[in-house]
Amino acid sequence: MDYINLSLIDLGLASLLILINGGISLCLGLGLERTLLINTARMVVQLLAIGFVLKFIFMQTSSLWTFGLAFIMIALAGREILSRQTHQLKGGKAYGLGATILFIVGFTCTLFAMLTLLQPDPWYSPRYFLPILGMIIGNTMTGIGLGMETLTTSIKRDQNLVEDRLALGEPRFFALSEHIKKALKTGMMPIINAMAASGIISLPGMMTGQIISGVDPIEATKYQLMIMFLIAGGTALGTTGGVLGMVYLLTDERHRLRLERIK
Amino acid sequence: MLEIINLQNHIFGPVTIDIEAGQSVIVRGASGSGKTRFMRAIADLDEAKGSIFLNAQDRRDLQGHEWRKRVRFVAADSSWWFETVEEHFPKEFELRDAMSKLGLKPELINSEVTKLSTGERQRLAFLRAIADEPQVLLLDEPTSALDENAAQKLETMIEELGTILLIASHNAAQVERFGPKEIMFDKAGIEIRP
Repeated sequence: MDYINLSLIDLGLASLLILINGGISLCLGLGLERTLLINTARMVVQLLAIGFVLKFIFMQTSSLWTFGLAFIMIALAGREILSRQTHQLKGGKAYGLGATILFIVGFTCTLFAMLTLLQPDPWYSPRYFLPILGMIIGNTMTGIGLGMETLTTSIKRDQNLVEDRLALGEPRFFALSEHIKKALKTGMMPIINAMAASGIISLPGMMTGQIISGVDPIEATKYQLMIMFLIAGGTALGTTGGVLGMVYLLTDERHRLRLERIK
Repeated sequence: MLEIINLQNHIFGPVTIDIEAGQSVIVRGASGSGKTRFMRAIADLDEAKGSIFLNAQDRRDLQGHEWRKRVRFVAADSSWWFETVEEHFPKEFELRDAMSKLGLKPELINSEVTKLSTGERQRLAFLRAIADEPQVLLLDEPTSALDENAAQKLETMIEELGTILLIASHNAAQVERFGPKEIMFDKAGIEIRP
């Protein structure tokens, strides 16, 4: 494939653009300089590290290394879901829920792509498996996080209303139906919006990367379409699982609201 | 008959009392003494140890929501989730007749809930609670937002229903009307009179 190699000087020049962010923060007194500095450094270190890790794993073509990194990615994504919650649950159940759903959805969708669509040799080829899994769990994580956050926040706000519906003899999923619908919509909206914007307002990152690397734009488009379908399906499954699972964690088997489980 | 045996949780208890069909019991005590929590626990809205039987049926044999179809707690402040009054009631309930008995204008049926007064909402919340004919009513200060005339109409309707009734009240006339059996919550403990 034909692509232009970037030198360290090229990257250094590009990084100067971050100074614009810093300048705006200083001029307007936003107080973001420290966060900007830390997050920029974090991004550089993380991306460099994953670059070297991926290079190493691609060279091994080992199922152990591939799935090992996949589990680490899922474990970290589960933690990220928790960190996005304003009202966190006591204990580790919410983490367990998020990570389990990410595992099921991430592996189901990725295996579907590997075994039926791409069919690389070997089937777990890390060059395909890890980026696809990463894109699916990255988006699913956002959906689950938003869905759970919307559900918990709205139930906490409407506690009396939910209690009134339960007192009238409604089962928990019925009493919380409006909250569940709202949480599912909120969780799925980013990917639905992204689909509408793809190709007109923005060129998706993966497609851009492939085109720059010399892949034929039509082939890059096919890959992008496949990944968007996988992400859309994964996000819908993940958000639904996360929101319904959260209903179980915020209620009990007697169909009572258990908000004391929130910290 | 409602049999409550050693009902208790971290807020109140233990309470043991039998209440016959059609009998009413006043639940009294200072604010924060645990009256509301006690009634919520009977409706199984709050976790509590102990046993409750309704007509010899153990509440544990029913799902929580099935129990609450029979044993209905009505909070002092009501919440509403649909836009209009009518949407909150089952179609078969004679809402217009019930409203007129409580002195509510029939045109309120199609009103937006947000436009109702506190007193109108309190009376409609009571009607919503009795619309599917529960066997036990647990009323938490049911006339706190009503004038004397409206309160009397509501009390008359409660009496006519003839359900097992527990009613938390600070109102002396109401205590007189639905007594003399009462559960008294105070710092020394819980006392059942007479």
